Amino acid sequence: MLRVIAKRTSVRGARQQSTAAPPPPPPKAAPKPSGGGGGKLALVGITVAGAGGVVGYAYVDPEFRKQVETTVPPIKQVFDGIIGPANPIASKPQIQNVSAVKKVEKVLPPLELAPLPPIERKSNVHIEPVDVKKQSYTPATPPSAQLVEQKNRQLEDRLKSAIHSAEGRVRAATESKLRTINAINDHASILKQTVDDAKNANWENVTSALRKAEDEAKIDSGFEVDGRNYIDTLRQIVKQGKTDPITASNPLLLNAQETANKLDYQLDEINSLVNKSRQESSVLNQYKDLIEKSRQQFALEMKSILPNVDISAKDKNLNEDELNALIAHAHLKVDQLRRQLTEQQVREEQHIAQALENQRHVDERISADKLNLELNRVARQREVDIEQAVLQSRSSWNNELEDQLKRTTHAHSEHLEQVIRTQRQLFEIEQNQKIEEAVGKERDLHSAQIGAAISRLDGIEEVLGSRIALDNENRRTKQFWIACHNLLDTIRYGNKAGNDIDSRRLSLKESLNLLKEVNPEDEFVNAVIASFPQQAVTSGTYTEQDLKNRFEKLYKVGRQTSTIDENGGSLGSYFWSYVRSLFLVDLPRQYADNEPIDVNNIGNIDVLARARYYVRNGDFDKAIRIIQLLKGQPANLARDWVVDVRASLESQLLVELLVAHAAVTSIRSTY
Amino acid sequence: MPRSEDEVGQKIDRCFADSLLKLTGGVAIGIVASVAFFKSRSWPIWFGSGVGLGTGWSNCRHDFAQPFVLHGKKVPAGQDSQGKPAYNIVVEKQ
Repeated sequence: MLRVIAKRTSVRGARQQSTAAPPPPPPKAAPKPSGGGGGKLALVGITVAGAGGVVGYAYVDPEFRKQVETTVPPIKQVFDGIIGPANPIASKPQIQNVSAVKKVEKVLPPLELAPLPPIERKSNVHIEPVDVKKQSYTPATPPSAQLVEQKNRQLEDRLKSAIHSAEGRVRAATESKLRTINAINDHASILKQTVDDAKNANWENVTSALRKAEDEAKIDSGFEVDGRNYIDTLRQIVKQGKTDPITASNPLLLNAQETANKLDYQLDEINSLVNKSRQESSVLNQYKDLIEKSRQQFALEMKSILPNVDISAKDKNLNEDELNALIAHAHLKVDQLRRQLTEQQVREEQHIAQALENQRHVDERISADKLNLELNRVARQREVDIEQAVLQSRSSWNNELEDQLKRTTHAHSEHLEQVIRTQRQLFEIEQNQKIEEAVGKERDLHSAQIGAAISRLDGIEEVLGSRIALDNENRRTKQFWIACHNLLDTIRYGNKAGNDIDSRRLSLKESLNLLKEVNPEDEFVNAVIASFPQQAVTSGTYTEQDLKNRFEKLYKVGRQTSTIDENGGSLGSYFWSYVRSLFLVDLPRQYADNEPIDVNNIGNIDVLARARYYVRNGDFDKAIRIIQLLKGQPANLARDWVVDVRASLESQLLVELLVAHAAVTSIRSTY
Repeated sequence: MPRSEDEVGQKIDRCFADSLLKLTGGVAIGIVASVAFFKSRSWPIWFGSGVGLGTGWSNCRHDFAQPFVLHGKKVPAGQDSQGKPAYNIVVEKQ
């Protein structure tokens, strides 16, 4: 846009120039010295004004001064002499003044730091529970540093390339503009030369110079457009960079903006230079037109005086009349010219004034252009500065805000910490109380449980102990049972290795002692053991088979002596009894258990037969009972057998008692 | 110790043994008398054997007729206070 404005201003300036150029009235004759004096005056004025303007502006704007000094180093001394040494710090208030003067709506109004509300310190009593965990709000996810860096780098690359290309274009445009200026100047000089030296004028040179100048102008306009386009793209890039929040704070943006402004300004300046040279050349064109016009007038006059004479015909000789006429005319002309000259001299001041006026107009225009340019530049610079200032103030504001925020957050965090600490303490106290209560309760419960468990354990131990005792008892009774059975076997079968009847008897003493040892505290067992027959204990009992054998013998002898009295008898009676027994038939008989017996009338033979039946059936008990019915000698004979059988039976009964006792104890102790 | 059912057998054994001893003694006395006094006549031998047999028979009859007589042995057991030999009676059967 700026470029368009600049162009428009330049075009307008050119148009004004072209419209303003005609006003000076065309002098009848080309007043060469006066015209030259006016031009010099104007030139000097312009130069002085320009220098003054530059110096003044340099005084006002140190930036401009610096720029001028960099472009034209010798001018530094001049500046130093006139306006004192450069004061780099002076630029800051300038900018601020400017920004203060020029209130731009685009720029953000100065941000006022709204005073933060004072942090209320609540007393600890009114603490409200704050869920600390939930405060982890997630801030708007900042673009990753990598992305920012990448974008910035991209932007910087683009900016650099754009700046480079724009600089190149602008340089090219400047060069071509300079060439244009040279061409215009050449054209002007050639034109002047040609006009001045009319005699051997070579208009070809002029036209060629003009064409060259036009060509150059065309080329330079192309270059200029190119350069401006590039600057525009640079600006666009800068704008894009600024709109992007990620790259808005890139310092290169401002530099690029400045560069763009500088380049623009360079182009504008060179444009103004071109315009100036064009103006000069247009002045020369006027000069040429004037000379041309005066020549034509002269020719017309000559023609009116001497219509038949061709002035251009050189070889012709004029006659006297003609010469006279010519001379007269010349006199008249001289006279007229002199009058004109005087008149001109009279009006010269007027002319000069007019010319001065013209020049002043032109100067004003130029200076206005320049001023516009400068204003634009300054405005742009100011914008940049404002932006910088804005940026700076924003950054400072940001810093301040950050500080405030930090302070606030710090205070807030402190407050929170305090709150949390207090809450924690309260909570801890409560918790401790609760814990103590719970621990007490738990302890009570636990002790109750432990008491129950211990009692149960005691019970279990007791049971286990009793179980163990029972086990032991059981085992002992089993062993006891085995021993009893052993004893029973001993009673029944005696010493199986014995060869005769007496050696087969086995003393029960050992076994009984063993039983006593096994059950030392069992009264029953002791009593039973104590009630064993003495004979059985000391010398043992006869085995069953031995008793049976003995009974067989007793039977035989009993039958043989069945009729003998218990007090004995004579040998004859014994012999008779023996003979009698030989004639007795011994028939095996079956006897019922419950058969009634006539105790008084039963004979010895019958008793022995019954007893034999029972003995053979192993029923010593009944046999003994029957044997008691024997009378006489057989009863004597049977005495020992009865005793022995009774002992055996007694022992057997006692052992069976012990066995039963053992079995019962075993069963009792069985779980 | 004899068992009661063997008593009769023992008595018979004793009878035979005693009778044989008596008979032998009688025969021996008879032989001596016949040779010494009776000029080797035979009848003193028969007499002596008859006496011996009769003695044995008598002893045997007494033994059988008194079933509760205890038979024992006289065992010398030192001397008594008068210097006479003392005897213990060991009963064969209770």
